[in-house]
Amino acid sequence: MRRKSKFILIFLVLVLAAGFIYFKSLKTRHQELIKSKIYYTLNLVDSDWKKDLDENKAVFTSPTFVISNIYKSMEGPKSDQFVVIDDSKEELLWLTSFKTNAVSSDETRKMSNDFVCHTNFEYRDAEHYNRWNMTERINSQYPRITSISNGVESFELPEGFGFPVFSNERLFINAQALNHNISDSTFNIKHKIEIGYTKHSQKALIPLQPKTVFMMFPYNPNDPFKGPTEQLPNACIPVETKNHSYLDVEGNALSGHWIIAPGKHNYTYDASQQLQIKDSIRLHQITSHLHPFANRFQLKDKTTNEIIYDCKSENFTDKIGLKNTPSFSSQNGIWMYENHTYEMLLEINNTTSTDQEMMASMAIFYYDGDMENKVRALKL
Amino acid sequence: MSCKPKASELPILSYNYVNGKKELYKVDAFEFINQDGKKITSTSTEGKVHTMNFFFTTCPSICPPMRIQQMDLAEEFSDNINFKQYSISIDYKKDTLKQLKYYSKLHNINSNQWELLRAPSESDLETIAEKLKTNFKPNEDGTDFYHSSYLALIDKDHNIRGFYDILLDSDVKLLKEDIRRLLD
Repeated sequence: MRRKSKFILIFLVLVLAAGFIYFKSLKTRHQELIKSKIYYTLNLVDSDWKKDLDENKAVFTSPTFVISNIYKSMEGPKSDQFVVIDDSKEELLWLTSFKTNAVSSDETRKMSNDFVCHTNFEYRDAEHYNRWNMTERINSQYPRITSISNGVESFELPEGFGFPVFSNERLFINAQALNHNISDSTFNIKHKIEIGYTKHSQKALIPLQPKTVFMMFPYNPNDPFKGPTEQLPNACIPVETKNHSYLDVEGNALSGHWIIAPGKHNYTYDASQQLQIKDSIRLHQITSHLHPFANRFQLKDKTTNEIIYDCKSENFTDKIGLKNTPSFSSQNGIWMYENHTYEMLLEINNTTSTDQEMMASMAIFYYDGDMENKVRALKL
Repeated sequence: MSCKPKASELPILSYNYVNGKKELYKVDAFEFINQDGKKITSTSTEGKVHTMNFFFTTCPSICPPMRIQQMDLAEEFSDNINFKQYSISIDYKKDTLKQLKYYSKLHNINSNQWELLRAPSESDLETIAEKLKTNFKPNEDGTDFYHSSYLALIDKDHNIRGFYDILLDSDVKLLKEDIRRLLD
């Protein structure tokens, strides 16, 4: 009996040791997924999303995120949730503003937004467009409304414009925590995510159509971490090849997350293909999603040599993080044309002595004439 | 307030705006033949939570991964006689009843849970596509078809209650939750 217990004990120690070695071999992102699963399953922290509805805003509060490590972009605890603003009725709403704040897990104190990696807001394109009988738009682009990220605490669409959704329409929110700086303590936070809206019954707004355009650079899929070569002088070193990796129409591998060495670097990217402009569009809003060490992000009409958006992002000087990433917002809008070439330009300065990770995208909104016709025809 | 909607709060999505006014409709005017030669009409779907989608047996691209997810769905709800999947072939010429039967047998599809359907005519396919708010078209070279990977979830009273991309894990999870909500 004693011998049997001894074997069981040794077996358990071996299993635990093997589990620990396996866990330590995982990337931080995967470690956090396991840790969060354990916290939520054992009910050690709050695992549910919560909604508070006001007259003109809905606030979604994330589950608790346990911050116990340094998390670069896409590494921290995260949670996804399908949400509806108000499923007790079907009412046309115009989404007009987006905001995310980190708060203490008891929701009494505002915390630093250093702990917000991103909040992605998405519509479900089949449900969204089928409600408007715009079936041809389904699968035409990734159904992202917009993103809030480190350096962008909130933004509002230009006065009089909005993105139309029905109050009982399902949306999707993805929230992820970040921590570039604090490694000597463990603490719990939540994200409070606010969507502001105007009721159509109060005021009809002008519809905007969202689209996300992001910088991508080629890499050699057979030797991904080699970096630029004679054959691929514009190559990047991808952060990883599983996520944020894409194939262009010619089958070339591209990465939207890449490694930046210490020092100053400039990047340019032809965004014309991603913009997919048919004839012309009228641009009203751009919000950037950048990583720390990005200093300047521009959108340029290369055909006319005009800078459309000049985002001078501000980095903290005493810690890693983006202090401010200004948006572009215009009621009059700027016309963009199918036969023009549009370029994204990024200036970065990695002030540390180690490699860092970069991404650069613009969540844009442009006037949606077809949707305006649909809305005008409604007799609600 | 929790974020999870109850069954009664899943919106009805089978509607169109006609002259600016919302007009609800039901997915109940159809007649298909299944892989066993049995006629499938709204009488067959009455009182059943069910899904409808498009496929074709020689589809080389999205249908194989869709099939894996749909077989998993059939397995998960295998004990529930009030849930069923219907996949309608868009290849009217090649997907004969014999071909549908062969495909069902080849892939070991549980036909109690998942039936493969053939429309009486090509125009009937257009009609049901409109009702399911989806579309399909032959590829330009005539070798293949485009169709979406969406399933429409239809309640016991023939109302569409959701659209789900069967190739997205998050949508599949949501679909399973919504099926359970409608079955309750």
